[in-house]
Amino acid sequence: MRKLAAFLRIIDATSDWTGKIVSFGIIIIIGSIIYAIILRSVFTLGSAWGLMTSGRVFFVYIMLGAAYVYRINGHVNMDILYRRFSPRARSIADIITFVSFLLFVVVMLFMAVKEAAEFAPMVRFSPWLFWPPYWPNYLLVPVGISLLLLQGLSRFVRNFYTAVTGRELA
Amino acid sequence: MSFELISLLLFGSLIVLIVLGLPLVFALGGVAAVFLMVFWEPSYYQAIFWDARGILSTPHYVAIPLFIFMACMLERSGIAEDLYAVIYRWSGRLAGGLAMGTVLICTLLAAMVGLSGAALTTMGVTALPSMIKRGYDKYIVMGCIAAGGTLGILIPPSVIMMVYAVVAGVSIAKLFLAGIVPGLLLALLFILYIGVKANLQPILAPPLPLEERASLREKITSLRHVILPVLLVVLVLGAIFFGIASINEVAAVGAVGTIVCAAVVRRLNWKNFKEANYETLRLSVMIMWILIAALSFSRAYVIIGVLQYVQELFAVLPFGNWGIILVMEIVFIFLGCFFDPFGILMLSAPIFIPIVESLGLDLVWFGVFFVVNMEMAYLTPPVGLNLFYMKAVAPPGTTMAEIYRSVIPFVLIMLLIIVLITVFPQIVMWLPNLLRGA
Repeated sequence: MRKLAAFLRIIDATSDWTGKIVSFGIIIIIGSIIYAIILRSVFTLGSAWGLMTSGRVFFVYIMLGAAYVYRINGHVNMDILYRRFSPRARSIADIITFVSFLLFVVVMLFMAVKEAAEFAPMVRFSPWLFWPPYWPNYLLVPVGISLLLLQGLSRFVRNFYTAVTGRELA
Repeated sequence: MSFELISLLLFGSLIVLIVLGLPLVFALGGVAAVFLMVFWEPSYYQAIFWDARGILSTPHYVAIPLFIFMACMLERSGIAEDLYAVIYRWSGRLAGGLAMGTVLICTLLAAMVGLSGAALTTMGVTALPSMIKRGYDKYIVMGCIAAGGTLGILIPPSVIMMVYAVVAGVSIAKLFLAGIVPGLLLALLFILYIGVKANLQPILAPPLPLEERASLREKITSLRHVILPVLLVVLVLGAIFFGIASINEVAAVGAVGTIVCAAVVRRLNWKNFKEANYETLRLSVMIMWILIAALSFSRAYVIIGVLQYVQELFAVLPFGNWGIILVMEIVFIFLGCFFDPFGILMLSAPIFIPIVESLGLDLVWFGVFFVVNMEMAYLTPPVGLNLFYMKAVAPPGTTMAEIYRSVIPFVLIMLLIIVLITVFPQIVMWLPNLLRGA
């Protein structure tokens, strides 16, 4: 049991740290757009680079951040009833609703992995050498969804423990 | 299986999951996954991922995290506190002055941020304790802050308006313009309500005691705090309305502008910067994922035929356009009690937007109508996000029921605005039509 708890803590820490690191992606998004603006207004050059980078980083930012936001309960839920449940009843409710979470995330992960397997090995050169590469987008999205799935499973195990024993897993 | 049974299953399972405390995103996504595979065809599991790609590849949506960053940075820059200090000096002998000033600050903040929570949390930490200390009635205090916060989504820039504009295919700048007059009118009505109430019963919102009133000199020098926010508003809104830059560029410049503002008032430090980043990620992920899940869910109900069913239903409503608008209003109020505005937008758009178009109503007008309704959604129990934020900053011992009671007059004022813009659509369309003329 101690080993299990330690393992779950590792998952939590992974979600925390990816989230905290990914959150700085917003600075890259801002920076790349500002770069495009400066190029256009000062040097009257168009920059597809700036626009493409912002779009691709945005995609990865939202996908990689999902595990962190799930971990800190960042999503809104309706807790009129849920709030009144005992801790044990809450964990049972969570176990039931976990099915829906699992279906959603697994379906997404399956498709993301399939897409990555299809596109990442084909070395897709950008039309110009210095354009932003395609591969991080394909590889990081499945990673982000997997982290979300792991975080969900970790919460499931905790809930299961609480539902059975009535205590919380450290 | 019959259509009725399938749709009952679809919405029934969604409601059960939500009541059991599952966040709306995962309830929508999971139910959509099952229904798409079972009632359309198995290979349709792909739809959910394509919805994610589709939404996250929409060019305008890149501006969403940028506007969120602006709000988060502004919240930590202490600009709202400085503005409150200005109001405090100027409100002097006016009964209810602090509360009216708070609404004014919320209006100014709304012109910088596109969310509902930012103004609320900052004013909740500064204005709320200060007003309570000066003997203000706590219902007025909580109500004006919770309601003032919602102005953020009606006065441009506004994140939800951007999403609506993309979904409905209208111009973002036009929709932003359309929000200005109703937004200012709403703020004005809030201020009038507080002013009238405070002057009838000064005990509820007493003027400042003589020794705390500021001298003219103090009043004038305090005005320097207003310069930065006004510059930022001019920068952001000016760039949008004069079409100088695309919405993403405006948002990026605005984000840099808030960082500069925070630096100028010497509150840009690592802790604030880091926390602004974390908060931005949290809100962006929350909003984007709910858009994805709700889009997939709406796909599921379109496939099982709910769309045609509702359209047939709407076709037999009495009173023509008025009947339909009334029904939509009731639906929005009902959904607003339970769902979050981004979910409501994605869920109702496939049904309502074609209907609105076929009625010959303007989609820009409908956007403003929708957004004012969503302002109410932030305030209506049991699930009103601003009520929860308010609970977090309310004086200790405040119950949820007291917070509900405090927002009632403000919700009624919003209903009044909805009636006004429905009867006189010119209130909304006047400014955007000027743009067309130019």
